[in-house]
Amino acid sequence: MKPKILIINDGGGFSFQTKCLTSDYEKDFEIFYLVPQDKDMNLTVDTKNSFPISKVTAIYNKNMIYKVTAFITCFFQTVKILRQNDYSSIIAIGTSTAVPVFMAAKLFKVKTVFIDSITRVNDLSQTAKILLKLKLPTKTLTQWESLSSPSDNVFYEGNIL
Amino acid sequence: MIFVTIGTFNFDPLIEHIDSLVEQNIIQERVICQIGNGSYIPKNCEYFKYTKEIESYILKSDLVISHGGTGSILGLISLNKPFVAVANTSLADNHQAEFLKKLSEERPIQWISDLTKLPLAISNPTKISNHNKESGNSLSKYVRQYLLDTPSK
Repeated sequence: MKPKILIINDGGGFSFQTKCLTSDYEKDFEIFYLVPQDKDMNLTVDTKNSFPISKVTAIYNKNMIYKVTAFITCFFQTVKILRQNDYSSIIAIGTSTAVPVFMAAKLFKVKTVFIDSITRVNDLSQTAKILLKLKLPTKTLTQWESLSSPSDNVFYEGNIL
Repeated sequence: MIFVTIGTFNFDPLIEHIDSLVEQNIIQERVICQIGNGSYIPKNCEYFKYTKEIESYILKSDLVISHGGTGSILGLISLNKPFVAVANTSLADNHQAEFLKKLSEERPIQWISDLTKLPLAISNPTKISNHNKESGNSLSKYVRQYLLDTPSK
């Protein structure tokens, strides 16, 4: 039986990078998607293998109450999803929604891989820094060799180009 | 036909500038703009906010003017479509300009951050190909093996 994995599919460039990364993973894994949603910009959740979750940070939404509420909601939505099935791993590229999702994953001892966006060429993203500070990902990867720092648990293993 | 795409958010300065270039007849082709949630409504171009069929607009166009988002740029390379990338410098950490600059060190892309350079850039767009969509990249292989090999925490 193939291991079940969850992939956060957060739209835009993050989705494209995720597609480049995982386009042939179906032969090795049973893939399920966490699809961040907010009231302004919904992604289509049209397959039985997708779960809508609350979108944590939208750059066009500066409302702190909204952000905190979305964060807590996303955490408990992920807990519920992880309770219902036995997922072996979660992959996230770039998205800040990884923070509450990986917090929930840690409770269930689910392996987590965070890959910083290829757009982050001079410094790690704030999301990557927060995840590392909280020691949430099992593995953190940058897509540019100049940003790798194995002593800080940031590794380079190539990029999607 | 020139297709302009600004991605998920908005890029009013680009849409407004292109609308002005059309008005001044500097751009004479038909122009269709995807404006996202921007507030500037073009007066001299066709436009829409979002579509699920963006690839069909790209395929039908002769030239794409795109914001510097990863998905758009790597998608245009994979479709082998002539394009000009314009960095949306208002976004977090100016990461589009940083990304385009870094990418241009590896691939010969035509990109600008100064909108006044757009007419010149349009006359000499990027046309490159061979982007590997099939996850032949080493990162994909590494992550797959890592997920298969390493036990959970």
